[in-house]
Amino acid sequence: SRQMLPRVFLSQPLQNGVSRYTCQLKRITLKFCKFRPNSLGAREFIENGDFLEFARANPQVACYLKPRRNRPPVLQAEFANGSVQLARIDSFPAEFVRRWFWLMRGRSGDDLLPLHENLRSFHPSVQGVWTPFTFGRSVGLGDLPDSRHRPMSPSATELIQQLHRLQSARMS
Amino acid sequence: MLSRLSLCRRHPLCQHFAAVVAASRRPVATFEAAPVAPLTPPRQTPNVMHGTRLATDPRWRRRMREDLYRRRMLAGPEPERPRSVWSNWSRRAELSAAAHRLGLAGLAGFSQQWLDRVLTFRESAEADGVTADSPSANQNVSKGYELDDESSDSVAMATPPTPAESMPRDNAELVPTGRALIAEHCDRFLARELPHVPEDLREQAVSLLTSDQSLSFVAGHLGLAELLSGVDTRPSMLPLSVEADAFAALVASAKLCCPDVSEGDEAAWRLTRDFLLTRLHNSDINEWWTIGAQRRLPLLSESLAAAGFPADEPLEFRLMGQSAPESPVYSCFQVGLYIRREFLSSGFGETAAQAQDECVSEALKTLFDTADSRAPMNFKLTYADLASALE
Repeated sequence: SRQMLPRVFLSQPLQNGVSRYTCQLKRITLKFCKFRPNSLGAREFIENGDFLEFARANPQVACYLKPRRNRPPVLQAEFANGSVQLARIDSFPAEFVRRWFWLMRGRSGDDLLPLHENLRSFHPSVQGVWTPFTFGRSVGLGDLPDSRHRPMSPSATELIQQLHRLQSARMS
Repeated sequence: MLSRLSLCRRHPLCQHFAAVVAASRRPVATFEAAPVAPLTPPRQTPNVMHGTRLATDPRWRRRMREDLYRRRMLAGPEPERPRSVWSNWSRRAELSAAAHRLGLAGLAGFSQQWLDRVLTFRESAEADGVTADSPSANQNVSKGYELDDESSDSVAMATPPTPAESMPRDNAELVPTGRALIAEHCDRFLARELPHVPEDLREQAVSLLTSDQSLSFVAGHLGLAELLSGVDTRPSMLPLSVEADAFAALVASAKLCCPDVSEGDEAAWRLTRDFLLTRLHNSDINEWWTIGAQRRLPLLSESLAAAGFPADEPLEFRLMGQSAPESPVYSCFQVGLYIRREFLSSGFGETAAQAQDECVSEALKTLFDTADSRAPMNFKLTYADLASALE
């Protein structure tokens, strides 16, 4: 939630996409166990040829397989900005593992944090930001006390003056 | 008085656990290098036991977790190691991936061996001697089985590798060529995009763009830092200048490897344009140079003269608006600059003097065409457009 996590502005590492798009995923490692049942999806993903298909379709990504005994399956993705993301694919079906691979391929490696806004512009105003002087007005000029200012209630001095007038009227 | 934790440590289950851990300890990836002053571990364990108290755990297990946490903190942080020491590393695969990521794989005459040499630095390789034990040698040994998938290789490197005689042993000659090339690219681009900006300010921007810090930032984000050989690639040991040199060598290699001159020029230009010059996007171009306070008014006169206004035309600063002028906090003055009774710029400030300074800065921006309202820079320029614009 936004009370717990800091908000960030929309950005791309090295202004990716402005001139050319570079895949930010550098290397991806599929760590799995050759025996345990929670790695079944990962093993099927490899055996079905989906892993090779991903590797061939993405020559810019170095793909590694790391069999590890008695460990749950994990997807480790390393990005160009240096961040490493781990996806626990414990007991996932092969199709889900495939989707995680392609999801990592599309990520920039930035932390998943809530955004201030879904867009960002360094020139949000085209005609210029409004100021009090945009339409040629000066404000805050004048001498006090101003006759245009009407007090809500009479001041202490005015009360005493009123009483004095009433008293004078009664006396006379 | 004996603490509860020391009672726990002597508990047979706790000792058994420690013995099991010691017996099953696997060899951790090691890296032999010159001894570096290690990060000092904390002298005292911190008071906050992060994530060690689980309500569902029985008390003895809770205390064991806390004890393990304390021991881990006392042991200090992990030693810093380069990425290549772990088993999931293959230099051949990494170079191939880097070539595709940088868009160089399709270039005629570009090969993996060429990229390897481009990212090899000479001095350390000669000084230490690349032996089987040295750190740079680790990078060349792949730890696992490599899939020699011919179809992928044929897609990756369509052309045969360059013959060994013409290939340089390292990037020592490429670095200065690359640095000069990058500086030339930046200067030409800014001269084309900002034709009204004076040369000294443009030079300031170019020197900032081509500084070690800027180039190493780009090199790091392209993943070149891990691929260097002949240097210690650990982030704390790698100087900025080395990373910057790697990017410079890459740009030079893109130009020199192509037999066709125009293709090489275009390839090198695209590397500079897409990775370095895009740093100007989404940034205020006026931040890339500094105009001293004394220089502002003379520069304004020079710029007006260049824009066609005669030198003897007086500059009129007029008070256009003011708000709460007597107030020490809320005062706001708007001063406008008029020349030949024509409006040039306006500025705001807490005092009239500040507003006048701001007005001069805005006028300079208008004359240089670096205001917020200017058109965005064209990052799709080709090298041919760049060269032709200056002729």
